[in-house]
Amino acid sequence: MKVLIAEDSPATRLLLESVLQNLGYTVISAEDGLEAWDILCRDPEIRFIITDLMMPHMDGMELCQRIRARPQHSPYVYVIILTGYADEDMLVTGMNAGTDDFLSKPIHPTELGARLRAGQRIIELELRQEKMIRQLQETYDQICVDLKAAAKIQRNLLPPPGHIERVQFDWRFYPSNFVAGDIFNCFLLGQDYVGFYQLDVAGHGVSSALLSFSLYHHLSPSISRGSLLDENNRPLLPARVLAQLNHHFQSPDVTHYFTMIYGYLHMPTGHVRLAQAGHPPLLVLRRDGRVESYGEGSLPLGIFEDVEYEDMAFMLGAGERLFMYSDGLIECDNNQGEMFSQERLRAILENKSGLPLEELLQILENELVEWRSENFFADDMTFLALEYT
Amino acid sequence: MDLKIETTPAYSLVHFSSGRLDAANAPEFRKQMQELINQGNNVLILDLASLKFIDSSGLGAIVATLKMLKEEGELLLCGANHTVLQLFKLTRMDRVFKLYPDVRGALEALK
Repeated sequence: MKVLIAEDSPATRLLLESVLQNLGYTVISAEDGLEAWDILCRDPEIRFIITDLMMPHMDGMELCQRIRARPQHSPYVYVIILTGYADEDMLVTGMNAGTDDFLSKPIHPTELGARLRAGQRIIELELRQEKMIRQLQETYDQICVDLKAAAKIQRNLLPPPGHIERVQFDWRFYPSNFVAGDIFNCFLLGQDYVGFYQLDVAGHGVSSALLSFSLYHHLSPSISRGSLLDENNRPLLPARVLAQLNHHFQSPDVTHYFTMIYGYLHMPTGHVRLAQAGHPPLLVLRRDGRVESYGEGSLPLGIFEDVEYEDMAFMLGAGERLFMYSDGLIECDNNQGEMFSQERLRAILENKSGLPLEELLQILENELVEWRSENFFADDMTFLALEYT
Repeated sequence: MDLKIETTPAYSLVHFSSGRLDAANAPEFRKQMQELINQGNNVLILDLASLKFIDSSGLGAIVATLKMLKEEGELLLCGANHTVLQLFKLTRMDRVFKLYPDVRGALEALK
């Protein structure tokens, strides 16, 4: 281990050098505090300094203060101050300056050896801690890289806002922690239908996201036609789709159940059919600004076997919209702990009903970010809107 | 998580005191309920009066407790506020759980 000596008296310096070398330390010497500081700044391996108190250019106290004022991530340097007098004031000033230990002159080799060993224990502890922090940091960085990659994959699954024939759709998606348990989709189903769903896996983070990925693929019409279409290429009734999902995705310990809305819109007529499973109600935004709510209660998916769901059906006129959201929207709280609430959501949707779809969603997003006073949501927060054109 | 549990030969009464049952404390709640049931307590009353909010993980933990109790056990919930009742309604848990306005109501139902 390297020890740096700062001492202006050649006799004391020589004595220290010989004692330290006999104890097996590598010794570097400086004639004053300033020189010691320069050496220290150039050599990060130095973890030990024995410094005299009174020296030209820079004294031991200032050297110690400079060492302690270095940035937090600098390696810890153990400082012993050499002093001919050890009164209480000096000890207090020294310790306030960040000195670890004191050594009184004249120097006794046995005492010096004991003090160095005490210091070495501290440095070794520091070194172990630095190593552990470095390993944690590396692990954390790796996890972040993986999560960011997973988040990108998840975002790429989502349908880009736009049109599917007569249906325009747009959305906002805010995962709380890189990846979300929320997922949704909007797709051409059979010949004349646009299918849509939004689902929210309980919890958030990686395990919820994995199930949401799996559900996404299960519900993708191009991958598994069987789960959404019958043999004649006609959509299966939404209630039946939900009942089948419930059967396939049971979570016996109720950790990964999910809530969902699934439905479809018949493009030639505007007829909508949908079913809900424990998900916040679907809102229909009528042209005159009225907001209707569909789905007042039903069991989430994955909790109980053999659950039956109910279809709801209604007509949508040109320019009318469907709006779906995850509970993270109405439950997101401001810095007073107050939730955004369904009432606030409905008020915005009613008051801004005349605006084009993308502007309406932008206003809602702005309101939510302002409500939070930050661009971060503690739970996954998603909303999705479809307009029949 | 901070739970106050009163155990009598007939039932265990569990009071929440943290204000929320959510993703942060639901796993700990599950663990404590599992221990309580493993000790042979199979009639549980959860007093939700001090809970302002339950999220989906919290709801999952209460349903899991119901499932842990199996046929011979009984779970009674009481004191749910408006927000919590709305969640129960939306997820039809108002038909799954036995709900009472307060501890007294739950105790009377046990008799």
